[in-house]
Amino acid sequence: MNISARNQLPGTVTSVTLGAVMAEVTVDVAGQQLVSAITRGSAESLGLKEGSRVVVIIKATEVMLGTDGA
Amino acid sequence: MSPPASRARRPQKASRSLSIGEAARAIGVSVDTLRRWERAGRIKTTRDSANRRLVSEDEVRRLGGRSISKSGTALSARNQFDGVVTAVEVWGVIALVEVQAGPHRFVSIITRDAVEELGLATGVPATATVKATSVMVARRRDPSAPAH
Repeated sequence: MNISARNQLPGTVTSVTLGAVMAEVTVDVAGQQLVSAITRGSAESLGLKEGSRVVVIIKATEVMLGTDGA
Repeated sequence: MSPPASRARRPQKASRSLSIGEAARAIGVSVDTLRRWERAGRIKTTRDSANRRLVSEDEVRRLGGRSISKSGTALSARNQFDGVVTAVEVWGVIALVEVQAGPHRFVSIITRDAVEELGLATGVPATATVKATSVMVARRRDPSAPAH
């Protein structure tokens, strides 16, 4: 599938914590951990588990920028 | 010295150079530390026409380009990537900013006002922050697995 999102980072799932409704999925992207909160249903239907090869997708409008503001 | 804000459509492919102060901030160490690293051969520097030290963007990236000391602000967002601005394009009220954070390049769309307020320009250290609920996950198909 082609998708318009500008930020797509391939990675590997390092943990999946299931809650009642949501799931917290941690993905290793080139040595850095990225946390995603998706629904439990999504995590289950994707069959996400430790070691799953995934792509993390973030819309450019969801990326905030900050500076140290010295 | 740092070049003016880039309005180029694409960042230069050639490695850009940062002043030693900019490089120190991007890596998260002091200028003194960078000078020490230079003497110890841990970092490659060049000199500009005024004999000021310059550090290539590649070199900054190689050394992590991730600041150690945070501003101290507590923020709930779980995903923060420290990097350096590599391109700023302003289109009317909206701006597209690229940040190189280690091996990752983030594209951020923010307002022109924000760019001006933060002083974002090529070479400026910046942190890309994303709320966990804004992060989607797609499964990569294992090429050896049968399609279903």
